[in-house]
Amino acid sequence: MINILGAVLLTVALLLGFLWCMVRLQGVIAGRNTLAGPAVESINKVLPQTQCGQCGYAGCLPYAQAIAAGENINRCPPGGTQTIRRLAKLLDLPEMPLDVSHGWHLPKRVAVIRETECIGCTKCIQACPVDAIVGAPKLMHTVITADCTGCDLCVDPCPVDCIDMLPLAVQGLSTIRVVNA
Amino acid sequence: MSRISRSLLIKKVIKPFLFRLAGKPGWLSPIHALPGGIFPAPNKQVSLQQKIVGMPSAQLAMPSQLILPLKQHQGDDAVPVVRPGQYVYKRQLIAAASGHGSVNLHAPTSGLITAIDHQLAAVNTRPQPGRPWQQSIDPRQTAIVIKTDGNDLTDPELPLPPLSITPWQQRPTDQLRQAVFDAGICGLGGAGFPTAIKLSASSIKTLIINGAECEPYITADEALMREYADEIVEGSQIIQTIIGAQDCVIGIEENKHEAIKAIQSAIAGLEAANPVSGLSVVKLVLVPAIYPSGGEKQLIRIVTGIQPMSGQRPSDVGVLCHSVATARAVFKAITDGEPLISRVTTVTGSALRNPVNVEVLIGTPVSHLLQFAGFDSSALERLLVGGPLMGYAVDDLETPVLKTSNCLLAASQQDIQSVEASSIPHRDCIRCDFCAPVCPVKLQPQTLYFSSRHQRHDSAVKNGILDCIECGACAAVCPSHIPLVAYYRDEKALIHEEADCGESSRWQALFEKHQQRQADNVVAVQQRKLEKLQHKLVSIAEGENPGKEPVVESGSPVSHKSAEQIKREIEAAVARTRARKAELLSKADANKDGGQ
Repeated sequence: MINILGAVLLTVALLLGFLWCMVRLQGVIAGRNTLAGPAVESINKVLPQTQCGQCGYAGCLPYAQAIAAGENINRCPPGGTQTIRRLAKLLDLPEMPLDVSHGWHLPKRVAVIRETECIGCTKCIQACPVDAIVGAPKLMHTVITADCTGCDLCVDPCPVDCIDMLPLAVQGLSTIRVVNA
Repeated sequence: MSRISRSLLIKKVIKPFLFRLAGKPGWLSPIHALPGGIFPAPNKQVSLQQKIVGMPSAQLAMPSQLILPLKQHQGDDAVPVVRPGQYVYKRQLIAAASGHGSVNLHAPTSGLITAIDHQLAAVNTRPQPGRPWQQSIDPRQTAIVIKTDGNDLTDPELPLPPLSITPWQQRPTDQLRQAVFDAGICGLGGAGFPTAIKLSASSIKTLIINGAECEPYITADEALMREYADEIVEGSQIIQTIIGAQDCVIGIEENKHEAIKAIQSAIAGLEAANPVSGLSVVKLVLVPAIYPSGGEKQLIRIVTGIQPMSGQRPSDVGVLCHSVATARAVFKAITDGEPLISRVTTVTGSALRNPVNVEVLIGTPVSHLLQFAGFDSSALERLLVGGPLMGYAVDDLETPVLKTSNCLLAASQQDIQSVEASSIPHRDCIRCDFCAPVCPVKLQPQTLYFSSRHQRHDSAVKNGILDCIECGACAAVCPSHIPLVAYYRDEKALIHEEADCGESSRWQALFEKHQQRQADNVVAVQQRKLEKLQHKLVSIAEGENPGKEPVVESGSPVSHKSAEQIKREIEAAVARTRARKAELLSKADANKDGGQ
């Protein structure tokens, strides 16, 4: 009687163990399958979304994909140290200093069009990744400062060089001053 | 147990007595009660035994190199205006303010710029298991490194600033404010808010100069008040003139007897020497020696009775608060034209044989000062920048002294246990509610603790975590030794991180919209092309059928042509075209043959 009971219990135990292993294995497989999408998404969320392309990729999402595939996390100048730290925390990697070959981390700047010089060619409007420039052909353009990410992409296409990148001004103080090195 | 009984004694007996004592009318101004607060052991006398030691002096040599981070203040980084390899003079501008709330940076002494790069790995960023006291601070940021030459030369060609020639009383306030901005002054009390921005506030009624300095061990402000009381009082008057405040009040803790005497005589002396017309008298107010009476909003409440509401700045209620060290820095900037290149810092703690106050050049490595003060590395439990309650721990002894570093505390085990015991793994919260009555902001620390621990941001914000001044009073009375402030700091960092992501997610949404629009555009263009093509096809098809008839009819005067006739004409035209084509082909063949 005891023998039979023991045998039954053993079988049940083995069966449960096998099922447990299957569940674990399934969990692992499922986890790996579903990790790719959300990983890129959460990396992309940490990146500053300026879409400037200074990292050498076409935008923040391509860089996020590259990071997920093993690219260095220190190529984003607009994000600076803070983004590197967040990425390191997210991906459990060691923190590293910013790779300044892609550019320095500068304080946030915005594009400002010198409106008297604008010829209304709409080239900057086409270059702006966040639609922060308004204007029409042969009419003056202007930048919506609140939406500008400071990505610099509108500066090069301008045929008359009438776009400046200026730091956000401090209220009540003249902080924009040219200092020669 | 002693801690608990002490806190009860303080709350029930000593505090009401002190308030009654300090609040009585007389030469003392009436003061207002501060909710909460604790009475930690002050431990201040050790560093006040001797006078302030100057930096390049007989006792204390210049360090071989200075490390100057570009961001020592709240706001955006300053931008370097010098190159590696360049020689700089003392007081020369090396990084210019750029962006919101940025502050200039000047060379504290003459020397060679050796590097501008990511230098520091000074502070550990995340609270770690067993080391939860550490504050989030940028560990690696761009810094300018100057190799000092020991000559301490100022630029011989540098003209004297105009303000040092004409007395400040005769200068317009705009110029004074600009001079403060140029001097790169930020709040020296610890937060590092750019002073020039504070000075551009309007409709300020009361200016409060904060000499309370309530945190244990720190005596930098007290030493300053003892020795430079005249400069502080005059600096206060300058600030008062700039912002146009009606009253100017210097608030000092009542147990700083020598400082009180010095400030009193300075006020009397200044009034006797040159009374400034149109300016009210600088007043002295003694505040009860309760921690944290020196907090900005706490001092405002004690002195004026006004409580700035949550989210309000002091300037919103017509009050402005500056520390005594800032007042002196303003005085030096206006009268000598000297930018902020040095500050008084307390170097203290039981791991030092010779605690002292030093007027130190900004950027001096901490190790240099510790060596001077007789550092015993075996006794060191933890090196804190700032006081034992609000300071942050530093691992790397090459960390520089910043504009905001008011104290270096080389704490031994004994120092740390006098205010907290977080080296013991903390126990669970027993909901004893000792923390709530000591909170000077009237928050519920234990509720915040649970919200922070489980990262429930909504609940934490709702319970006012953003109003927490991180004074550490709750952690000091906690019988379970929970490092509450460490939890709050971590939670605040997470909340700010989420807020930061707000802007980037808005940009992301804009970018996605832009991409969507572009994709739509491509589709629209294709569609238009397709429509054109279709139209063409239709018109061609109609050309073979009598579709074109009406056009021909309207165009030609011969109106009646039978279908037969038209058909014949078309066939004739086709035949002619074929003949011409054949002719052309044969001609081309003939040319080819001839060519060969």
